[in-house]
Amino acid sequence: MHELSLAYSLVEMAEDYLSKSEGAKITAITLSIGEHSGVVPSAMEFAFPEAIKDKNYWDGCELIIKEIPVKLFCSECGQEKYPQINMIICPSCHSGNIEILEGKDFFLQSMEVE
Amino acid sequence: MCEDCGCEQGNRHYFDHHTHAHGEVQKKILVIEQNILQKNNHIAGQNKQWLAKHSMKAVNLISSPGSGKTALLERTMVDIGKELNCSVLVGDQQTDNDAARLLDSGAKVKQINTYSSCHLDAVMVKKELGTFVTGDEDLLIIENIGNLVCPAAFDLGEDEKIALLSTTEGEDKPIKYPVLFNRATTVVITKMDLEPYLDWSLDKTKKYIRQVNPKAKIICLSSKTGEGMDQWYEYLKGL
Repeated sequence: MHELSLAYSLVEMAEDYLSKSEGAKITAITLSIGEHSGVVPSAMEFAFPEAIKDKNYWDGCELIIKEIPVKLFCSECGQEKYPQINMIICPSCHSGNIEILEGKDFFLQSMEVE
Repeated sequence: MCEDCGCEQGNRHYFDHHTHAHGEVQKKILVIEQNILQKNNHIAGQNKQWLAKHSMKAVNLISSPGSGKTALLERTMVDIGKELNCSVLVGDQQTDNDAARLLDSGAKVKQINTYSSCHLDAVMVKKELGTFVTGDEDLLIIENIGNLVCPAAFDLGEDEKIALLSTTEGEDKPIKYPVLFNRATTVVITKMDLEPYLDWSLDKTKKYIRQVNPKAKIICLSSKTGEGMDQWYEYLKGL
């Protein structure tokens, strides 16, 4: 359940941006979670309220999660493909000569402040 | 009308901010697009630089509990501890049992207890660089907490992420935990001495590893009988 420590990092990062923007409160936060990031969206939904509990600036904040599927580039086909999470090879030609383009990261995408 | 949210109150854009008034309260969308692991990754980068400056390599051993990480390191320290100067960091939530076992095998070892945390992070390793890890060693071995999920997300500054998989765990762990097995540079299959007694297939295991990581090095060994250990030692010495 590393999502809790990630939720704490998220809160720290967001509060940093909040103070730079001179806002008073974060009303919504949007995360993008790659399918291959090692972060489980439902675990983050569980951990997030815990990380903002009793904290200023966060009361009523809405958590929005965008799940990003794995996208890879196959050097054999020369095309971009969307494989299944447990088949990190080209779904068409089954080549392992691939590069993961998207779906590995866990990002703070945006936040709404007031 | 605001083209971002349809709000009728205004449409004023500057920098990457979207600002408009909603009634009396001014709301603003801040576009951030920043990796939440950025801080960890930054410190992992510092660890990597420190290790490179001291001509050291580092490996991060990750597996489920009981797959044989400590047993592998015990034998490794006994067999090549004198020719390959190593420091070992061992992560566990509680106890220093693993460190005590490794001390008995002659290793220079330090236990990190994470208590409630399920993984080691780059800050925990950084604290040991220049203190416990002096920089005179050839290799830093990090035995992560037994867990196939969480440690995979946290870079520590290692050169190689090594996933261990024991024969008793069955063949399909790589496709059940694809994030770790995809990120691992090397997969070590342990407890090969048990193969004759198990309904377990090496070919099937390799097929599943290749399915999520076509380029991983695969080493098969037994810390108990010594089978395959030479290949493991060659690998460590060649890092």
